Amino acid sequence: MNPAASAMSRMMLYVVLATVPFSAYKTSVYGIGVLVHLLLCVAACMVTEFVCMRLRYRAGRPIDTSAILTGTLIACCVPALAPWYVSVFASVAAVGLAKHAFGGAGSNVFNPAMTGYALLLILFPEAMTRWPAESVTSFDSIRAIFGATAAGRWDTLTGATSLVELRSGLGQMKMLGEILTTGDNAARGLGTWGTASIVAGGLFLLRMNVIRWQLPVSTLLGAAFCAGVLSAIDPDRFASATFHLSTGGILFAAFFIVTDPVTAARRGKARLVYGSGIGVLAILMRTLSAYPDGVAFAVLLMNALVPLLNELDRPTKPPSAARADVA
Amino acid sequence: MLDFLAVIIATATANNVILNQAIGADAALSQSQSAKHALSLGLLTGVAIVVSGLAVFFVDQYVLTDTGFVGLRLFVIVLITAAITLPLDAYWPSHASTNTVARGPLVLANTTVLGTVLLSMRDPASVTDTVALLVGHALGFLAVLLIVASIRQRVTRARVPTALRGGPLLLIVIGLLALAASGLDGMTSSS
Repeated sequence: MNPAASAMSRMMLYVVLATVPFSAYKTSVYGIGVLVHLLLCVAACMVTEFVCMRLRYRAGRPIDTSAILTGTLIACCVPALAPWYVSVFASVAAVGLAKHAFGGAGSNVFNPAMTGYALLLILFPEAMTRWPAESVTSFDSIRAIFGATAAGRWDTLTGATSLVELRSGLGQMKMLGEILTTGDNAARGLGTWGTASIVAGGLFLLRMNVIRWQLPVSTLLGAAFCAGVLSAIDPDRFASATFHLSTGGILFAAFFIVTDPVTAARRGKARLVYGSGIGVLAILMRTLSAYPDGVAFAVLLMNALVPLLNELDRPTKPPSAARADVA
Repeated sequence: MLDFLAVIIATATANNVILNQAIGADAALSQSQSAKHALSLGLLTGVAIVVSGLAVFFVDQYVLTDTGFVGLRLFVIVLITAAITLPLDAYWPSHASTNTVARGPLVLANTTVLGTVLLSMRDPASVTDTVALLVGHALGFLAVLLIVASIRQRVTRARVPTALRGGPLLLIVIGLLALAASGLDGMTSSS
């Protein structure tokens, strides 16, 4: 394996390691279903990767480890009681469609994990709401994932996430304060431990120089700014920036998705525009569109703009001269 | 004002001509060799959409409806869009090297313009709504054309599987773009 490829797969390994605290937190809250989906996603990604490499090259080429990361990231987003085929579908689409159709690792335009997840949101909207209620046994989780749950039992097994609750509450013309204080909203957000598990992973990646600070910081600032402006305009309808940052996928995406070196913008200014664009779009989609959480769509939209952003932020000097300047 | 902006944004993204209405998809496939060319053609089409859309609106409101010739609507719309698009295309300051290519999409640009103008007709129509829809469609068309052109430049350097090279991959790109834009669905109804 050449040095660049081995450096890349070491980085991928660090990112997988950094998601461990969050996966552990998610398992402790939502039960064994999280681990089942993790296994399903990683296995499906690896099999797809293997099949695609075989189809494209015939001769044995080393399997790219980024498929493990893609599987891990999808598993972090999928609800713990979703049926098994949801994870498999997202993994196959992520590796096959978003990565190999575009020329394989390093050439993909759209983030594979978010492509898979966004497809799930569109194709299996009902399955994507199956977050377990508080007391769900391991036996029930596994039965739910492999399709042995009677139709009438879902109501007792699943509970609405805070973003879904916020949306349906606003739909019933309730005031924001009322929605956030009644119901078990506090238990449904990320909570202190969930936030800590994501931030710990993110700090680890920053410490190991795997990710650059510009991307997560600009994403979070963009989201906080947009949520702040909206809630200043109409505090009864739009939740505060703190609520938005501590629920759903924004924090997770800021550290683990936006920072993907292949699909993110390359240079400083373009990076800031890319990150803050995701933050702003994610909040706009959450508050104004038909989906409770829009991070995946926001990431894909900004992914599409990356080639243009890179083009606009191209250095005026040729790269060799610029490097000589730095030295 | 906010409603006006929301209609423009929703029309440009969630109801995009290329991504959602599949009218300009042929233009996005064939006219995206370079960003510069895409910009030129996108601007031309955008201007043509807005100008002929407004012309159609006024003719429809104050000539056809008043005189009772509503049956001639489609015929008149085709004539107006052609009469505006042809001279615009002929005198459009396009990049010299792409000049001959720019002549080619005459018909393509026309179907995009005609389709978009028809899409922007509402009953009952108001001038602000029509302007918002037209500007939204024009911006959406331009944006997707630019994005597809820039992505196309990037994927030509990649080792794309032979069967997917060119058109097939561009169709996948447009499909994934539509997936991303669907995240903005429902923006106008809730605002």
